[in-house]
Amino acid sequence: MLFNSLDFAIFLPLVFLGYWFVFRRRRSQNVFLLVASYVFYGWWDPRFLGLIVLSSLVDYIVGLRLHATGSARIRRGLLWTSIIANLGILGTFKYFNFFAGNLEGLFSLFGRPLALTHLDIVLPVGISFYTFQTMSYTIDVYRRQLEPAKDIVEFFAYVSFFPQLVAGPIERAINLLPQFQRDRSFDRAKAVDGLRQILWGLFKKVVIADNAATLADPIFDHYELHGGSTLLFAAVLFSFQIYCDFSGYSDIALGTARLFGFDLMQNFAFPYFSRDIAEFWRRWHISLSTWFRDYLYIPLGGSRGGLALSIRNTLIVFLVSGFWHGANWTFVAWGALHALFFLPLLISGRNRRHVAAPVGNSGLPSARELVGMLFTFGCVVIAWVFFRSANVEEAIDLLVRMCSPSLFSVPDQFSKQYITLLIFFLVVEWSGRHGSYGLQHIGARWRSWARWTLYYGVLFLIFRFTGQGHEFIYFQF
Amino acid sequence: MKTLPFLRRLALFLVIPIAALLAILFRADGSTDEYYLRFTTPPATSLVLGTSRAAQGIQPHVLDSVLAEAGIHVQTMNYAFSMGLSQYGPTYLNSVRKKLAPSARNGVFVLAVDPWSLSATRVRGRIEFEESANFLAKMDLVNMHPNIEYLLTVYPKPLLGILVPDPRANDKRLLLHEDGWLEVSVPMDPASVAHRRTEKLAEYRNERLPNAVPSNARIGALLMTIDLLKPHGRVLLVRLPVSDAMLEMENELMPHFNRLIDLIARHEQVDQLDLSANGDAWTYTDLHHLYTADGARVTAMIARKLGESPPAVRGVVGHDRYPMLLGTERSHPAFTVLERGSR
Repeated sequence: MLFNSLDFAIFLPLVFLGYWFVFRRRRSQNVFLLVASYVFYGWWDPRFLGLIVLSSLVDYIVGLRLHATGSARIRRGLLWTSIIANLGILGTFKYFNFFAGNLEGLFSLFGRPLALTHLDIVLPVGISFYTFQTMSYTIDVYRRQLEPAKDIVEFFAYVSFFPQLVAGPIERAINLLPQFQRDRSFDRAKAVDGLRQILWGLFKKVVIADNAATLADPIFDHYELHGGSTLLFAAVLFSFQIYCDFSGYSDIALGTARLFGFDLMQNFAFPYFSRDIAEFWRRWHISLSTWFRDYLYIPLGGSRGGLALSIRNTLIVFLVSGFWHGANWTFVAWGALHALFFLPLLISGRNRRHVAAPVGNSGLPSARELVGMLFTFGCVVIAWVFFRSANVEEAIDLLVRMCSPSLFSVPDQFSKQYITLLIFFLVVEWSGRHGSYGLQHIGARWRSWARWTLYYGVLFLIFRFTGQGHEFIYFQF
Repeated sequence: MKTLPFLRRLALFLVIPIAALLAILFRADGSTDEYYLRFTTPPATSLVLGTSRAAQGIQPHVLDSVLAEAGIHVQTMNYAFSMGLSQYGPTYLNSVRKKLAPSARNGVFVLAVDPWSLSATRVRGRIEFEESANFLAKMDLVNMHPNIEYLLTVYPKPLLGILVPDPRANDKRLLLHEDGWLEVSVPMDPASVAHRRTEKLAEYRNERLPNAVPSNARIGALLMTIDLLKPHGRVLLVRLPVSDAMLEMENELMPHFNRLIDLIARHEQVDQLDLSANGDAWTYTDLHHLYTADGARVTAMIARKLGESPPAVRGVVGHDRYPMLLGTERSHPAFTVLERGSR
């Protein structure tokens, strides 16, 4: 079920009413949420519910067994059982054909053609998200940082909680599981804030992201017909498309969770206002970046073993992060490129210069900050070209064409209307950069009629400028 | 309970957006786009099926009035869409199933057929059925007024444009009537027609024809569509007139098309009407879409054919006797779906 669909517009109020008015005890609310979450997921394809149940069951049992045994050997075995089961599911559905294809290519390179079986299967929506979520639970229990869930309903509801099931945030059990274990009462302020965040997420998705897609897709599909400036315009459009698509989804997820009294982790913190790439990665897809930090980078040794080890570990994390996005070399190239941008900062020890929100409380960025932001954004845009392209050769070809003299010509595709909407979006985001999302604090001290006017204005823009419906990009990951 | 005041305030806030939404939903009409109205009418007892040729060329009000003169009283719905949307196939068949009134008896069903509507497209070496990824495949509700599903999930433009049309988009050329007929009003001066004709010719000659592949799956779907409709009334297969240039391409695509339709008609014991001869005697808005006046004349001919006595039972041909039905794509998923169907 898509957040921007009619189905969800009916589903959400029904679940909300049932949750607060019919099932008022914690356990029955958890059961209701679990059923609702499975309906939400099964709406797309009920066959794949089995995978979520399997993944949840494995980690539930492993968690309990980890807690019950003191033997280090058995504990390690249990941990690997969980990791193999989860990565096995992920590997089969997401990466099997990629590896088979590349192996075949490698063998034919040496004159030994190989014909391997390729699986004719659909990639289950959200598989990368929920497998990582359950794995983090088991690892935390293994590390004795978390008590295992005793109640199977609580655990299953945690894994499948519908607002964040198919595209994150990848919630840690430490944050989310306890919320299923305590009574929840309706908090009006939280619910209002949730609705506001849903409104802003919808605006980002259907106005900014979908319209960007409508403009950028034809250019990317026939990139060889366009000059450098148009290709740059398309790459910038895609940068906003993917940001608003994904962060818009996260906003709707966080807002929806708040309606039910849950707090999910912030997944985006205005990444395009970052002053260097290191800051960008502290602000982009935070739940995934921190997952890799805690469960890959630190176990590999982090920065404790000197600069060389730190560089190696950083490189591994970026490559794996790229590969997590999809079974294609373009994603690996995307990760490698970001590593390339990041490593100079790491080597020079300047990777933690910008930790606070951009530009204190002053109205506009300083010239220095602005240059930093533009440079960082430029690097990100270049990397997105790899992310968007069908293969690495196409991405390189597109970048070469972009960097031609025609880069200084007037783009042959342009939309003043879209640029106006984009400026409005950036102004709201900039004004709200100290909050969790753009619209959060704007109008907080206004009279309610003025605040409502603002929200009506955003609604009007949604109705007026809704782009052609596109699925959320991150569903495919 | 703190939830109730919250809901009351939320309801108050939503009054204006919901009122606006309702206004939009009820304002949507035949000028909204070229498809919407067809999904807002009740289930149909008589249907016109096909692609855009039929959508523009066959006028249900003419059909019904000519048939009424012959003592046959029907209310026909033109449920033809366009290439890439309503070529015969599982998607269109499922949609027709939803549109057909289960209680329909003694209806008339005009199935416009041509080589394109029985062909698939080859894209990068793979046979594709474009419509399977299109909105018709996803629409569950086709008899609802206002059709919320269409407007909220399919309609490709901003909804507010229905209420407040964009003054710059002064496109009044398409008007969809309640009976599903798509009236197209374009300049008919020779220069404009020639321009559109040249464009269409280039499109079909350079893009469509090289990639079109006669499709067993589509032929199978046509057979299933006939089977679906026969219990509800009289079925007529019609090959609409097209310009000679178009006919030439169609003959390249499926040289034995008329023979195939003849076999199908005999096997299914339905009538057929071939109007493709003397194609250039008719007026088109481009290469193959009939101009309004000639569309009415063609529709009257179809009605007269339907008004004739029912077809006599002739020699029945088994499915294994379709010589051009057996081909390359029996294993295609679309065909497998069809074979798993009721047939």
